[in-house]
Amino acid sequence: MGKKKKPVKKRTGKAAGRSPGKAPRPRQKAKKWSLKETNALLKSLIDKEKEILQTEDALVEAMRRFRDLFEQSPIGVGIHDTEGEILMVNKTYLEIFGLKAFGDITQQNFFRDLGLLETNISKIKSGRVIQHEVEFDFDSPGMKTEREGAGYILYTISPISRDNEIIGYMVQCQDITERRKVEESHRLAQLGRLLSDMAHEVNNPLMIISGRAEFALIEGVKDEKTKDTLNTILEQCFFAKDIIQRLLKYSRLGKVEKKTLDVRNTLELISSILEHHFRMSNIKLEQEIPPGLPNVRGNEKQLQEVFMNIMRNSADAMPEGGVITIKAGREGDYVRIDFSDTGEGMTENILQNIFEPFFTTKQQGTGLGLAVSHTIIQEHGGQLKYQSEIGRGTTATVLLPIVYPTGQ
Amino acid sequence: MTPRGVKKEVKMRGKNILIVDDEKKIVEILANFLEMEGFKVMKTYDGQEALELLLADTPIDLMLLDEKMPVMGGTTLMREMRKRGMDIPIIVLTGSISITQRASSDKEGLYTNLLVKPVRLSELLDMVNRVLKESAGKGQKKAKKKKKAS
Repeated sequence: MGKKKKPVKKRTGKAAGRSPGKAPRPRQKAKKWSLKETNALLKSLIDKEKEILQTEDALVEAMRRFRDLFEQSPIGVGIHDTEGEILMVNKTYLEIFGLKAFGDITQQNFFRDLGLLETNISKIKSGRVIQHEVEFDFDSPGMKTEREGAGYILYTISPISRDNEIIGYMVQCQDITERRKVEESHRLAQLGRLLSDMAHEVNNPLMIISGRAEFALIEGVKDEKTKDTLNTILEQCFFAKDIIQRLLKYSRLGKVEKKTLDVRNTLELISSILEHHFRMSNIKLEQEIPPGLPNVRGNEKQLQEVFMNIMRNSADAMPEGGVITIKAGREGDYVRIDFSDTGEGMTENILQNIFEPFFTTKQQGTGLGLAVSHTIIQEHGGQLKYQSEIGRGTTATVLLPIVYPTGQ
Repeated sequence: MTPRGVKKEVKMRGKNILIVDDEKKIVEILANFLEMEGFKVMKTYDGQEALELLLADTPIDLMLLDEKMPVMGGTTLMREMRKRGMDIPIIVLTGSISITQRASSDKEGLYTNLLVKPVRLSELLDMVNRVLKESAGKGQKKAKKKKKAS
C-alpha cells in the first residue's frame, strides 16, 4: 500500500498545484476525487482553456494585423531563405511586376537573378543592407507580366536575424520608373547647362589667347617665324571653339540651314567615302535604294554625319567582317532608311543607353556619335530607332519627313 | 599701323565705346585694339558700374557688353536701360553658347548684335563699324523727322 500511495500523492499534489488558489491537501488520502475537487479541477481546466483560446485569438489578431501591414504596404516585400530563394511576397510585390500569381515571379533567387556584384553578395551575406537598382524590359518574352516597356525597380535587401544568426532575407521593391524618367530628363538638361557653363569658362581664356595673338599680328610682326607661331595660335583657338560648338550640338544648340534634298545622294556619297575602309575590314555593302525617293528637308552635312555615324558603328560591331544592308523606301509621310548589320548585336541594357551623351562601349569612343545623330534626326522632325539581337545583328532605322512640292 | 577701311574709319573715329566685361584681360585687349583703331574707350567691369555711368549722362555711342557678370549681367543691364528709355546700340559678347540659342528665340530683341567668344578682332571691328553706321543712319532719320515735324 505504502508503495502505491506515493505516486498517487504526487499526482494529487501536482493537480492541486496546477489549480490556482487551491492549496494542496496533504492530509487527504486521495483514494477518490470528491465532487468538489473534480469540479474545481474542471473549472481550472476550463479557465486554462479560455486563457489559451484568448491567447490564440490575440495571436491570430496579431497575425492578421501583420498580414494587413504586409499586404497593404506600398512597398513590395518578399521573404527569402538563407539561400536567396523566394518564400513569400506581398500583393504590392506582385503588382509592381504586373504578376497575377506567386508562381509567375522570375526573380526567384536574388543572389542569382538580380545581377548583383560579388562584392554586394558578400556584403549581404555578412548581414549588411544593400540597395540595388534593376532595369527590366517587361516586353521580353521570358516575363509573364501585364506590364509593358521598361521599368526601374529599386531593391533593398536586408537580413532577417535571430540570435545573431541570419535566418533569411527581406527584399523590398520600389517601382522608381517615373522617378528615373524625370531624373533622366533633368540630367540631360543639367548636362546641357553644364556644357554651356563649360563653354563660357573655356571660351573666355580662348578669347584672351586669340585676342593677344591677333593684336600682336595687327601691331605688326617682322619675324616670319613669330608670325607663323601667332597664326597657329589663332587657328588653334578657333579650332577649339569649333570643338566646343560641336560638342554642344546634341543639346539642340546652333541653328542650321536646311534644304530640300534626295537622301539617295547623301547615302551614295557616304557609301563611297566608307567603301575603301569597308573593303579593308572585309565588310560587304549591299544597297537597295530605289530611284525616285521623295525629297526630304534637311541639312546635308548633318545627315551625312548621321549616316556616317550609323555605318561606322555597324562596321565596329563586325570586327570579323560581315554585311551592311541599306534599304530605303517610303513609309507614309516619311522616307525610311534601314541600316542592318550582321554584327554581334547589343544587349537590352546597352540598347537603352545608346543615345546618352558620353555613353560608349568602345575603347576610344567619345560617346557622342549616336547622341548627336539622335538629336540631329529629331531636329529634322524625324526618328532614329535601333533594334538589335545578340549574335544576329543590329538595325538602325532613320525616318525623315517627306517634303511635298509646293502646290500639292 | 595703317587704318583699314579708311572711309569708315574717318566717319567712326572718335566715337565713344563703353566696354563692360568682368574679365579684365579681355577688357584690356578690346580696349587696346579699339583705341588703336581710333575710338575713345571707357572700361567698366560690371553691369551695375556701367548703369551708373549711363545714368550720369556719359556720352556713349556703342556698348560692348558681356552677358555673364557677377553683380549685374548683360541681360539685366539691357532691360534696365530699356526701362529708362536709353537707346544706345549694344553688341553682346558671350562665351556661353546657350545665348546663341536664346538669340534665336529672342522676343525682346536684346541680342540683335551678338558675337560668341573667342571672336576675331577684325570681325569685331566690322560689327562695331556696321552698328555705328546703322545707328548714325537712324539718328539722321530721327533728326530729319524732327525737322519735318517742326
